[in-house]
Parts: sequence; structure tokens; C-alpha cells
Amino acid sequence: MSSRIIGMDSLIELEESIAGKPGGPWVTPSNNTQLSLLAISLALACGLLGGMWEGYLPNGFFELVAKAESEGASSQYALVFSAISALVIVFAWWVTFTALIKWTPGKTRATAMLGIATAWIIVVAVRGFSHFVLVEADWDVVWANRVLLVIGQQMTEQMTQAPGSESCISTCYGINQNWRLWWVLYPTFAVVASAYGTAAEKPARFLVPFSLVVFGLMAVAWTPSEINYHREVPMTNLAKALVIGWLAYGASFYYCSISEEYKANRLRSYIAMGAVATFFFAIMIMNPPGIVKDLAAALGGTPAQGMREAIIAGEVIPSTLDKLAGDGIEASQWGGLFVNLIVATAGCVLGFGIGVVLAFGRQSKQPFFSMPSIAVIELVRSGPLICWLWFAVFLMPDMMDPFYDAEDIIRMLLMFGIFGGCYIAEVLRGGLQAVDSGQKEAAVALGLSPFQTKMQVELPNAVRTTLPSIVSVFIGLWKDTTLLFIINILDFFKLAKDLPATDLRFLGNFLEPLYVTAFVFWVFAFYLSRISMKIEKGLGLGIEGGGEAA
Amino acid sequence: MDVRALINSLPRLNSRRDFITGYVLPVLAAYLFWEYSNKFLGMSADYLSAMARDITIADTQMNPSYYAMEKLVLIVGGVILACFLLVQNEIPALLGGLRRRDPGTISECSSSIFAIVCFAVSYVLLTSVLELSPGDQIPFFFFGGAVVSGVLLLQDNLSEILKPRTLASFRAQDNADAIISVGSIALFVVLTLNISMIPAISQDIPRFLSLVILITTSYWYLRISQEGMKPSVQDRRTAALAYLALLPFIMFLLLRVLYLQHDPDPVMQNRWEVKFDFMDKVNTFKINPWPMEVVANSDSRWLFLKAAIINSARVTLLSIVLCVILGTIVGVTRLSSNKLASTMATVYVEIFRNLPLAVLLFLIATQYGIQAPLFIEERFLFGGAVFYSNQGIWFVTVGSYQRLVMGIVALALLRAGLRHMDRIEPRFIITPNTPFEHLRRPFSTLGWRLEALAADILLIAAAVAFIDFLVPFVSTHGGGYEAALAMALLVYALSVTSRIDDDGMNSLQIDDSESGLRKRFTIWVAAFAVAAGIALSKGLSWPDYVKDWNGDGVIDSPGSWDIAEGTGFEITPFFLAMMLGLTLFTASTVAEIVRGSIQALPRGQVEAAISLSLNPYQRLRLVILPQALRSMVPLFNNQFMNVWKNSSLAVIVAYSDIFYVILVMMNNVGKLIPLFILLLITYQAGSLAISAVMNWYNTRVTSVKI
Repeated sequence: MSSRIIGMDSLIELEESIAGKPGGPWVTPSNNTQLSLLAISLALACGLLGGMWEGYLPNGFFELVAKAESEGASSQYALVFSAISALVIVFAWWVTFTALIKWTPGKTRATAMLGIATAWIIVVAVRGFSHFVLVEADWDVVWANRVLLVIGQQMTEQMTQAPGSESCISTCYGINQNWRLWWVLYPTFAVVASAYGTAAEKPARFLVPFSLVVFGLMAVAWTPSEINYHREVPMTNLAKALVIGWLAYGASFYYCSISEEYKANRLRSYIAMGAVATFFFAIMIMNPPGIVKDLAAALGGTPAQGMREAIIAGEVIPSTLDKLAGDGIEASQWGGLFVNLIVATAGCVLGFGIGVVLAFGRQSKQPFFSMPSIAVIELVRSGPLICWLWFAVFLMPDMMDPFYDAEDIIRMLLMFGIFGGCYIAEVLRGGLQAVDSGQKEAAVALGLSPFQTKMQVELPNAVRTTLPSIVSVFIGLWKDTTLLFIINILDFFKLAKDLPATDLRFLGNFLEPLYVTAFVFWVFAFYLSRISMKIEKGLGLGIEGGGEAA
Repeated sequence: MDVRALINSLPRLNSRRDFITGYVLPVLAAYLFWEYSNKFLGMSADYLSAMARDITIADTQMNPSYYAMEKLVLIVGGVILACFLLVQNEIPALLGGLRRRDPGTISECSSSIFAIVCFAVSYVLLTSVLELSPGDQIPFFFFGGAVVSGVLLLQDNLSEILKPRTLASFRAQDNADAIISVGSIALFVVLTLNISMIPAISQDIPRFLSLVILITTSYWYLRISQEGMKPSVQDRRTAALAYLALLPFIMFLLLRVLYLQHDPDPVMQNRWEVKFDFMDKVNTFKINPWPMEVVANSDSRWLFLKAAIINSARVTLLSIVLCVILGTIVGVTRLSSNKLASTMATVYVEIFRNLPLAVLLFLIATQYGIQAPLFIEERFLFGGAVFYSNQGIWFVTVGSYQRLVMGIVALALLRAGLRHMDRIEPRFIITPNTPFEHLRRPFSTLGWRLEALAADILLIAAAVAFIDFLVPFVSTHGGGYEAALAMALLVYALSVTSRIDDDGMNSLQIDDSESGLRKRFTIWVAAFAVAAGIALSKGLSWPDYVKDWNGDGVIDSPGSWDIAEGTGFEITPFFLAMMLGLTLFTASTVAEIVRGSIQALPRGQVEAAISLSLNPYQRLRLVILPQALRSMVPLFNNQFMNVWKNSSLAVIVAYSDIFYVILVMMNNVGKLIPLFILLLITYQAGSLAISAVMNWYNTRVTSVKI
């Protein structure tokens, strides 16, 4: 029997990692394969004939399906659940038998026992989790409120009317302002896609996942259950965003492939500036200051709010200028995942700016700069974030009100910026201290001013070495946006955890929204951490050496 | 300067970009600065006038925001002086010179001394000589003084002027800068005294001062950017420029805070007034503390804060211990050659590292509330040893904790005795000479053998004393001094033992042969049996589920069923959720630290251990972990501080920690700022304590150089 079957190699590798290479009491290279087959067949026998994990189910698999169905799962889900359980159980038996039959002194007994223990832990975990996901849980609570979770209560209500539509879907609440969200999405996608374009990888490695994600979003938006909007609107806008992403990727990829390295680097810095600009543009377009509205009105726009009746009746279709001339969406009406994203972005963008200032301040030889910087950094770092969020809600207005009457969310943006800034400053300080003094001397010799030396020599060097740590600060900030609920900002977490209480159809479905929240935040954080690892690898900053412990 | 030179100094225009950078941006910047300066100085002037206005009618102060002039000068003038001294940056030199009693310092640091003298003079003048009008003179005095100090800093020629030599050979055409400096001071004094004569200025002081600041800053900005100066001078001038530019904002922050403390609105004043007398009053809400019992409406708020700190501290300490254990297991498993196990460990790390702690805590609490049985369902495990319900978990425990401590002490004494027998004569005996060294080695006269034994016993005694005094401290209202003393004793005992270790008095020769190991094993098993016997000598305390409280044989209604007080060991669901959440979350990071530290070891270490035929467990325990610990400990320090700070999320699971208690107090009394200060102090103190312990441990770990 040849072991050259596809997939066999990795199986044998796994087997060897558990039980060791052939050798020892009875396992020899000649009977190795037979013993493997013996283990597999024993596992199959135990798994299928001897009942599943429960042991008392005589009919094994089918009994499991029936049981899952009786617990309220639909037949497909019951089937999937039973298949998963059967697979993991057979797998666990296989690991157990392999470890028992094929154990060789090349591996310690502890390693083999570890394998067995892990296998059965996997059984418990996978079965428990899939039982919850497929059998117990009722995901309708999240599915029905998916729009709410993404953009919050107020904006969902506005969505009941599509722009320029013939009529409202249910009740009309007002002028739909949600086009602003699309205007935020386009530049965001453009920035992300063009950033990937500079990474010099195969185009498929970005384009395929990117398109899949957008198609997934389209599918979610297109599904007709529980929608209160015209489906064409998200469809066309997502399609536009997708095309913009493709174009941006193509443009930057092409530019980088035909240009020299320094031009590509310049493009990267432009993209970074573009990302910062996108953040400010997002805040500006969501709730434009008076000057923008006045400008649009001067160019011939009529504020859309003035024509509310006519628009709802379908007589007038407001033009872009009309919409721009009207009031935006006040920060207090933002909600859902959008708030988390924008607050986390504020933490990154403002935080990086503040962090750079504080880091240089702390490095400075002038006590007028260094002492306040140290004071601010240490003060902010001494308290947990929720203290400072709470400070931003109750005490910051006392200080700020005379000159800037900001809304809660805007103050949150500031606070996240300050908080993130202090942590980034500490990270950057390490990088700044590690900058080779020759670099600074060279800059002085070239006649750069102190400011130029700092911004064009020291900072890029420091950022380069500390980028992974900075990204992990960003991940921390992203996760910390869940704390916004403590001060009653309707972010994703707050909305999700209150769903069982606010949506009376789903009273008592506490767990499902929480698991979805955990999943959503996990996905973003995991994605960022992969990026961080990629950067680390790209910079060649990985840890050298390595010892195998057990 | 003639007109042509002025025109020549204007930026040249070669492109549109030059036009924007040369003209549009500066004008825009000047405009924005003008607006900003006007606004902030204007508000500051209003606050200052309001706070300085003295309206005394029949010996009562009618102005709620009034500050006595002494206080005002001290605070506002003090801040300006502090800024000046910071920018001038001569204080370290001055202090050093004073310590050396070097008369030359005074002339070196003459500008700082001049500033201090000016401050003192103006303090005397304002409080007892001059009567300035609060409407215009006082704002002008403070802000104008600040501006003049900024101008003097930029001119940076005070020390030149103050030299007697300069005065002797003074020539106006050579010393334009000196004239500007002296002139600005003189102008300031004259204007302060006669400001009401010049309505153009006194009508709008902020506008006038903003103009001065704007002109000065733009002039000096150009000069600094065009002139090649010594880096040190340029640094100082940049700082002075920043000071002048930030002056309106600094003044606003300071005066706003001062004003808020005497705000006419009593709610605001209540929020901002920094007084802690309300903490002595009784607290009005209930919390769920352990082991200290505090009673609402009879105990003071300080006691509630103490109970809350104990709550936070115990969940933090337990989570730290558990997360190190779990994290080390997971981290080592990640490096296991068993692919299945290492993959699972990776999955664990990736899952928990990327979950928000808030969501995790809420999830655990909710899941536990749903999954755990109701209290009335009476679920026992292990024959009644564990009672679990959604109201909490009760474990069987020892009947008397004193006996438990006694058992542990017996084990510790045994260990000290075994070490005593294994101890061999050190190669060098270091004898203490100075009194301080004697203090660190109090038993040095006993000889090497007895000295180490005595130190070990001292440590055990100190630990026992510490526990003995800690228990009353954490469970009753008093006991602070005794606990602090016992703590000091423990620290002293630790320092004694570590000193003995460092001096090499603790060289042990451990019998590692087969028979020796067997002997040790037997001794320890026997010792554990004896210790267990001591610990259990008062029996066990089983969770006693009582359904019939009055003992009449009739089962009461299910609502009154409960575990009898004092039986079993209770863990509340809140505590459980906090502990689990913090442990799982932090363990993922700890695992990464452990993995990284182990991987960073040179490969040769492991190979050498293999070639010494150590088995994998010995490799890990004797070679890998001790070395990896050196790089792990500083990183652990950060993580432990994070655990401490993250314990503030307890508000999510309704666990009465510091943040929760202070939050409710804030809602009750509205004393936001004092409570906020307390909050920060508490967290900072905890962080400092953790890093002190970890730094001590770090020096122990790294004391052996490799």
C-alpha cells in the first residue's frame, strides 16, 4: 500500500508528531502502515458502531440527528451538527488509538497523553459549540436587526425612505441621510485597496478576498427577510464601492510595478495621508459644519429638509447639492458598528498625531516640553480607559463648553485619541531611542533643521521599528471601543446586548447577539493582527533563534 | 530697516505653490492664531475679573467666585513663574550651585533669580501695597506679566543685562535688544498702573495682548527659522516661542479650573471643589464585599472604598496567579512537538487575544446565568462537596483556617529544615562591616549554618505574622497599622533572605541520586499527610443547604432556602465571571510572552540540556524556564498592571470593585473631581505596588549574570 495518496503525507506527519517515528517495541517501518490502518479502522468502528460520544446511542449517527431535531433544529442543521460531531469523535478515537498503538520511545509518554487529552478537549469544545450554533441558537434575533447593529437606531429609521423614492416603505420619519455613509465607504475602500496595491503581491491575493467580502455584504443586504429599505440602493452602492476598490487597486498596483522604489514609497505616504484625510472627511460629511452647507446653498442647493413633504410624496428628487445643503446626521444619532469603527479610527489617527507630539516632547531636552509630556502620559496611563471615558462624558464638558460644545461621541473621539496617543507615545519613545545616532548626525550634516530632522529622519526610523507594536495598540483601541456602552453610547455591543430587551419578538435570546458581537470584533482584530504579522515579516523584525520546549 | 530690505525679505514667488506657502498659509495661520488667542484670553480675563472682584457687605463675601488676592497671585503667578523657570531651564544648575555654595551660580542663573524676585515683589505689592482694579488692572497685570516673561525669554538677554559690566559700558546703538527687554518691563509697569488712562487698551485687554503675542511670535518665528543659532539657544527659544503661543490656552485651563471650583452654580462647585470631608459621612448604598462587611447607612464612605479596593485586589491577585499558570501551560504547549496540541494552543491564543474583554466578561456572565441551575434545584457535586447554582458556587472547606495556616507552616518549617541539612559551607564568607550591612544580615554572628536557618525561620515567622494581621485588616474596619507593621516585617525578612542569597551563603548540595530522590519523596509525602491532618483537625465545613430555618420540621417556602451562614466557601457569580474573564483573556497574552521568551533563547541551551540527557520536563524546569524568566518578568509586569486596570470592567458584571463603588458614589453625592482623583490615585497606587514587587522579583531573577 502506497502512502503517496494526497493528504496522506500531512496525516502521517500529524501521526508522527503525536506518536513518533516508527521504531521501538513493535512499530517498524514495515508494519507502520498496517498499524495506521488498524488505528483508523478501530476509530471508525468506535465512532460509528459503538455509538457516538454518548455511548448509549445504539444507532450512532442517525440517533444523533433525530435527537438534534427533537431539540428544535431544522433537519439540515441537525444533519450538519451530527456530521461535525461524528467527524470529531472519529478523529478523537483515531488520535487515541494512534497514540496507544503506535507510541514509540521517540516521543515521551507525556506528548502522547497530551495528544489524547487535546483530542477529547476538541470533541467537547467543537460539539458544544456546534450544538449551540446549529441546534440551540435562534439567529433570527441578529438577522432581523442586522441593519440596526451596523448603523444604529436613528439611521435605520431614516432608511425607511430611499432617496428620491416613489414612497416610503413603512412610515416616513424624515429625509434619508444615509447616502453619507456610502460617501464614507467609497474613499475607505479606495484607500484600503490602493494600500494593498503597493504591497507587491499577486493581485488575486487581494482581489479575490476583497470581492468575496463585498459580495458577502451584498448577499446580506439583498436577503429579503426583515428589510425596511429598497434593496437596489445598497446593491448599487456596494457595486460602485467594489468597482472603486478594483480601480484603486489596479491603479496603485500598476503604478508600483512600473515605478522605482522611491516612487512607490512616496505613493505609500500619500495613501497614509489619504487615510487620515478620509477620517476627517468622514466626520465632516456625516455632520457637515455650517460653512459646507452655506457653500452648497450658495452654489444653488436648497436644503433637503425644507422640501420634506415634497420628497416624501415623491414629487422632488433632491440633487447632491440639495442634500449637501441640508443638515447632516448629528453625532448623537450615530450608532452601531459605524460608531465603533469611527471611534477606533479616531484613536488611531488622532492618537498617532498626539503620540508623535508627546513622544518628541518626552524626548526633548527642554523641560518645558518634556515635563508636561511626561505628566500627561503618566497621568493618562495610570487610570483604566473607562475612567477616562467617564471623564470625557462628565468632566470634559465642564472644561470645554465655553469654547466648544461637543457632543458625546465627538468627545469620545477626542478621548480615544488622547488615550491612544499616550500609549503610542510610549511605544514610539522606544523606537526613537533606538534610532541610530549616525542617522541624526547625518541629518544635521545635511543641514536639516531640528524640525526636519525629527519629522523626516527620526520619526520614519522609529515608526519602522515599532510598527507592529503600534498596530497592537490599534488592536487594543479597536477592542476597547466596546467600552463605549458603559457611557450609554449606542455602539454595536450596546445595541446587541440590549436586543433581547428592545426587540420584543426575541425576548430571552441573550446569547446569540453576544456571540455575534464577539465574532464581529474578533474578525476585525484578527485581521489587524494578521496585518501586523505581515508588516513584521516584511520589515524583517522577526525574533531570531528558537528552542523547542516539550 | 529701510523699505527695500523689507521687500527683499519677502518670500519670492516662482510658482503658485510659493504663493500659497509664502503668503496664504502665513496669513491664514496668523488669522487663526489671532482668533484663538483672543477667544481664550478673553474668557480667561473674564474669569480672572470675576474671581478677583471683592464684594464684601457686612463682612460677608457676596461674590461666590471670589479668591483672596494672596491665593490668586500664588496660583496664577506661580504657574507663570513655573513656566518661565521651565523654559529658562536653569533650576538644576541653580540647585547644584547652591549645594556647592558656589557664588558664581548666582550670576549664571541670574534670569531665574530675577524671575523669582519679580514674583516675590509682585506678591508683596499686590497683597499689601497696591489696590488694583479687578476689571482691567488685574487681568492686565497677570496676562501682561506672562507676555512680558515670554518676550524676555525670547530675547534671552536678561543675564547679560543684569551683569554690572554691561551697565558700565552701555551704548544704545549696540544694545537694541537690551533696550527692548528693559523697555518692555518698564512699559508693562507703567501700563499696569495707568491702564485706565488709555481706554483703547483697557476696553479690550485680550485684544491688545493678543496683538502683542501675535507680533512677537511671528517676528521670532521668522528670526528663529532664518537665523543660524547655537542648538541650545535655538532649543530654548523654541520652547519660549511655544510658551508664548500656548499662553492663552494655559491661562484658560488654569483659570477655568480655578473658576469651576468657585463656580456660582452650586452644582458645578460641588463637582469641582476638592474637599474630601464627604468621605467621612455614611454611605447610602449596599455593595457586595468579602471578607469585609460594610453596612449601608452606618459605615463611612472611606470604609466602602476600602472594601471595594479589597474586592478589586482579590480578583486581580487571583487572576494574576491563574493567568500565569494557564498562560505558561498554553505557551509551552504551543511549542510542543505534538502538532495537535500546539495547534489547539494557537487557536486558544488567537481566540482570546482578539476578543474584547468587555464582551468576554458579559458573555461569561450571561452564559453562566443561563447555564447554571437555579438555586432551588439543589445541585450538588462530589457527594455534597460542591453546591452550584446561578446564585454562586459553594465549596467544602476546612473547619478552621488557623489549622490550615498551621499545616502550611509545618510544611514551610520542614522545608527550612531540609535546606538546613543540605546546606554546605560557602566558598567565601562575606561578613558585614557597616551598620547598614549588619541590618541586612542580622544573624551574621551565628555562623554560616545557623544564619541561613535563622533567616528562613524569620521569614516564616514574618509570613505568619503578616497573615495574622492581614486577616483583621481585610475583614474589619481597623487594623491598618498592625497590618502595615507586619508588612514591613515581611519585607524586611525577605530582604534579609535575599541578602543572604546574594552573599552566597545559601549554597545547597541536593542529593539528586535515585535513593536521595526517593527519600525526599517519602519525606514530603509524609509531611503532606501530617500537614493535611493538622489542617483538617477541626473537620470540614460542608455547604449546608437549609430549607427549614426555624427548625420546626416543616420545609419553608423556596424563597427562603439558603446555604447556612459560615458553612462552605462561597464564590459569587460576579467574582467567578470576573476571575474567569480576566484569567482567560490575560492568559492568551501571557502565553505569547512565554512562547516568545522561550523562542528567544539560544538554541544551544536546549541542545546542551539534551546532551546532558535531561528529560523534557527537566529541560523545561531547569534550563529553559529559568532563563526565559529573565525576559518574561518585565513583560509580565505590564500584563499584571493591565489585569489591575482591567479589573475596572467589573461594572459590567455588577461586581463591586473600585470603579463601580466610586461611580455610584459620584451619582449619589456629585463630588466628581475629588472622587475622580481618588480613583486615579487608587489605580496608580495599585500599579506602582505591582511594579515594585515585579521589579524586586526582576532583580532577583537577573541577579545571576549569564
